[in-house]
Amino acid sequence: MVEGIALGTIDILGTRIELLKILISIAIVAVGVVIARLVRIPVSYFLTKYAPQAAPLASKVVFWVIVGIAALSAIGNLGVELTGVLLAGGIAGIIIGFAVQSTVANLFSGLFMQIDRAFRIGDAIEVAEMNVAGIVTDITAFSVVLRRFDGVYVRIPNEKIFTSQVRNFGRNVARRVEITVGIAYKEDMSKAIEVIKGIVNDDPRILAVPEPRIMVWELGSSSVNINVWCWVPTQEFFNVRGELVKKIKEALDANGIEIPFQQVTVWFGDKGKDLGERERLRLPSLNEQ
Amino acid sequence: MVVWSVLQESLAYGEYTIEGEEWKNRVVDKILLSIKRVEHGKYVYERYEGDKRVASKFIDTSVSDALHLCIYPVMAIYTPQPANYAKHLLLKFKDPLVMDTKSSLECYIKIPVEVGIFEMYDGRTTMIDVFATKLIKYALYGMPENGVICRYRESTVYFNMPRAEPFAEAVAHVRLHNYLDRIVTVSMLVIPIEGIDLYYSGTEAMLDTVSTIIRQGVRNEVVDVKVEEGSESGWSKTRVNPTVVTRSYTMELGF
Repeated sequence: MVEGIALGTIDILGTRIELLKILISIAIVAVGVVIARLVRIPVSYFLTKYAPQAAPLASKVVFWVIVGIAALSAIGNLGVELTGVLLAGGIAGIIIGFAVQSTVANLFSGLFMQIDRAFRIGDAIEVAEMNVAGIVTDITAFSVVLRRFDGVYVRIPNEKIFTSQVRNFGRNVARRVEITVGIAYKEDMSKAIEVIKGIVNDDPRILAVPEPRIMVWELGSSSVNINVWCWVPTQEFFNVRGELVKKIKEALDANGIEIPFQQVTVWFGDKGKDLGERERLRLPSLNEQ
Repeated sequence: MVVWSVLQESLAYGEYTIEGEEWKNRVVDKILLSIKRVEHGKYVYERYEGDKRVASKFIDTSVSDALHLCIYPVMAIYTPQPANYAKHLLLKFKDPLVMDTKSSLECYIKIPVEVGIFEMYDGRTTMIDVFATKLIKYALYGMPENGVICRYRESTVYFNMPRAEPFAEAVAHVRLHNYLDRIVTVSMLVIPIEGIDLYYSGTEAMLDTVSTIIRQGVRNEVVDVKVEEGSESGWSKTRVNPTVVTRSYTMELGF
């Protein structure tokens, strides 16, 4: 409580403080606030440009740190002994630090993620270690919010995302659709490739550059496998992927090209060896023996 | 402005007033446009491909009974809807151009266009429908991580003005300058096409002059491509009222 004013001094809780020092301290705080505001403007501008999600929080932190330093300087100017305050503050800081360790980790992970810019709001991502995938709907100081592809809301702490492998499906402007088509061994491979090429060329969404690649890739157990690789704008990936499989199947059917079922030939070891070809063809009858 | 109240035989780009009960016309063989007046100031617009109706709109003209319609060539950025994410055209030359050091060259190319159907009121236009009469592909200029998705077309280089295919192509006059101290081969151009108006005359369409400068950039050789404004005269200009117009682009990822 202020108890009295005499000869340019003021008595605050039993301590006589010069009025001039009080005015200087007020000026220090005022200057500190002005500097904090001035610093906050470019910081906020920079962060809004490069890390928009972190901008509001980070600019507030910068503001209050500068104001806090100014306030401590003002208190010091008044002649108040700060050692005890700092000691108490240090001990409190350690206790609070342990208590909010994960919160602080999330906060800093959030800031680092903004610098890293691995994904943005609206991107489709997969967090490999957590086996979670979805659309990023929000990035806060402490967590990232995903809308899983089945519509479920998922909140992931920043620290976990920051230390995980993240696959961003929407980062690049184009993605490659990869389809494997199996045709029967008896079919004409060149004709099948021409049919598939016609489908690919007729779809405006499939990029002409890089050129689509359609090639015989392997001789499979039941079919000759043809790989179809074509680049599409990322936004169209799922639409093209789904429609292309359907169109290729329809076109191959229309051209009489067989897509075979999985075929397995079973041999019955020594018993089979003893039988002639005719007998092996009658294997079901062995069950009757 | 042409006033139509009966079936027309030949369709061209332009601005029309439709006052009759029914109007039908073919843009190309497979595409038929139909407009029917259902009551005073109310029309139904339909587009058919073959026998299949692929687009329809109900139009209320509110102010007058007549429908003011514009058929314009528009830059190929609208179809297939809603995939309007390409704001550039990658034009690959069928025969690359070899340019001498410090030289200039003028030529013509053909670019793809789409057909836009607009309702006009008080001098402003609103798009009713847009379609392409030819298949227009996309292409990636650059790499997936830093490239640009463009509309794509291969074109021959012409040294005399060619005739563009009606309702499918426009002609562009290209001016190339090589500022480099070496002979260069130009095999493609990336032209900004967002919001740029075209010119028309009958069934033909034309783009403003495309000016390109091949120069040494900071890190590599680049091509500045700019669509000059208002360089074509004697042709009617479309009035599409774009919100964003992009006329220049720097090709930094090869040419």
